[in-house]
Amino acid sequence: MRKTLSVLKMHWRDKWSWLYIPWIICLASFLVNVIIGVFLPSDGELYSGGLVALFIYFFVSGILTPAQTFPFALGMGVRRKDYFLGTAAMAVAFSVPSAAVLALFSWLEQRTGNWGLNLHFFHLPFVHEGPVLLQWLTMLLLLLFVYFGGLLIAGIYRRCGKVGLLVFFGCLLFMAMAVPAAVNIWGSWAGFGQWLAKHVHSMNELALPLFVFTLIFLLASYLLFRRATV
Amino acid sequence: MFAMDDTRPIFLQIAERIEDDIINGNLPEEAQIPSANQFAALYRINPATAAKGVSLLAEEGILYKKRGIGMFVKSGARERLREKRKEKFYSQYVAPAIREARKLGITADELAAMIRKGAEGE
Amino acid sequence: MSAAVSVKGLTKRFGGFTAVDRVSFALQENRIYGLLGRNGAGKTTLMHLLTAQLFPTDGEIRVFGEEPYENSRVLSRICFVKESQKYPDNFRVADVLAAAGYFHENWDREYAMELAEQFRLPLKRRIKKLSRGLFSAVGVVVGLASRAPLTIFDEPYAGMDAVARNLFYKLLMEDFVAHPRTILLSTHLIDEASALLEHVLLIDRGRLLLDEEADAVRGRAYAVAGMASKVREFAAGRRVIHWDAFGALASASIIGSLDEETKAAAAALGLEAAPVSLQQLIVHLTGEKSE
Repeated sequence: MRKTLSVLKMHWRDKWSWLYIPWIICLASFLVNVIIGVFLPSDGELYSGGLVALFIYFFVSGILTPAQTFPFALGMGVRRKDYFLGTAAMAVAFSVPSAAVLALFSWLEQRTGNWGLNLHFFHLPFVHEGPVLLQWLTMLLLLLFVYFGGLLIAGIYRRCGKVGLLVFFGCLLFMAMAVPAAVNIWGSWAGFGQWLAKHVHSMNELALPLFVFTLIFLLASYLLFRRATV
Repeated sequence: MFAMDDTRPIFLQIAERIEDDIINGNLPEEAQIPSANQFAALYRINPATAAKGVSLLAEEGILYKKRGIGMFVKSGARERLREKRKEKFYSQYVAPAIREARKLGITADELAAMIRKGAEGE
Repeated sequence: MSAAVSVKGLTKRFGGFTAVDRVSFALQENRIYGLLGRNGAGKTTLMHLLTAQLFPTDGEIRVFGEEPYENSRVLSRICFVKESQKYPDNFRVADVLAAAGYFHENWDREYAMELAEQFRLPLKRRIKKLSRGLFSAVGVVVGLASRAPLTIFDEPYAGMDAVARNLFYKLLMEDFVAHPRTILLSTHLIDEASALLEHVLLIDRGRLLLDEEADAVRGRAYAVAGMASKVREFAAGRRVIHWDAFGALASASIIGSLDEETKAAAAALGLEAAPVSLQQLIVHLTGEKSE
């Protein structure tokens, strides 16, 4: 417990990477959209995908954090298990309030009538549906999903090197092609589309599978890091 | 610098320096000698090595230990050391001089005269 | 006295290359050990194995009686200062010292601050921006202030000038006396550090060549020089470990003690004789081509 806490404290010393930069990126993106909204008014709604930046940052963070801190921690005599738990705990400790902020701004956006600019930044259809609490949960799971996905990639690289990474992405590519092929062979696109429309109304329905994948990422990362060397 | 000679065991060198101090009177009998740690700090050597040098002298009866206080010079140590050094004096200093003299063709008499002149002159 | 570190038949292979070859030794508690050897001899690999940062191909490692892998009881009592330690890009010197405090049980923060001042470390500067010498100083401060029961230094003074290096030796000795612990110092600057070492381990090409008290190795060999024919005559029947020839002149390094008898024998042949230092002996032992 104490060890995990120590790793957490270690991560927390780098507030720029964990706290300042992601939110500066997010706010900068938002401001750009606001300025566009103010100076280029249009009749229609302004949908911005700027929020993606935050998730991309978090994904990249997951890849880079071990590169930065794992050799350091190992050099300080930290167990791989403690490093892993501490880093995972840090990710959760960061994601929970971040998701809350996202949910809050989503609610604010709705309340202020899209900031008076018809700007959809924090509250996007499909992504942000349902009660605010549910949005918070979904955002949290999405953040964790991308972060631990990044961590998994870092783990593969540490343990299996570049070759391992190639193999991994090769498999992903194969699956990306196999799924549509399977749909073609065993069903129809229309049928698939209907199934989707029936079951997936919003990101919320994807939350559970995301969570399952996140857990798989976590476990796989841990197993990879256990045998990683500096 | 008081650098130690890296070609000979350091603990022996420490013992020798203490012996030197006893012989030339810097450390009179029954005086307390500096601690091993002090030697270590001064000469920048490992304290265990310094301690070994001190132990060696204790084993030879040159020093003795007063529990809780430190190491002291034993009575009669100065004389004993002098005798020891005198025994080595021949092979360490005289024999090489003789060898060198022989090389240069200096006879035994000439050598003896040189020694007499030098020893009495000082 | 129980062994702080005990290694039996330790082997590490990287593909076809054997970095550490069936090495066995034991380190007793509260002594300063020197791990000597040329670059690439296997010193760094060996230290990574002791701290479970690399996994052995074969053999056994026990630190404080237990296996170090994923063992926090053992790992928290070790401090490993590496030449090539990686630090997070955004970390400042103060961050590194703070983190070291989180991970080392015996960390002495006040002492760390004193040391930082002595080495003139700028606490607010990023590690990445430090000169090589200051970068090494950070590692040294961590190593000393951790007061870890097993402290391992791997060439900790890369880039440090002679003044800083001397400071390191002085501080190491002072703190070792005040807070005894087991120290393993790997270095190729043998003559500088030699007097600090109580015991030396010499590694060459992954094999352990020497495992002895430093004082036992000093004065173990001597060298004679002069006319080659005379040197050969003198060396007959003696253990020669090194031979240098320069035309009609030669010098030989021989295992044995340079007592009065030997000195006289050398002088009789018109040869110069001088003792061989620890550093020179090691150079001879590790510089030869393999038989």
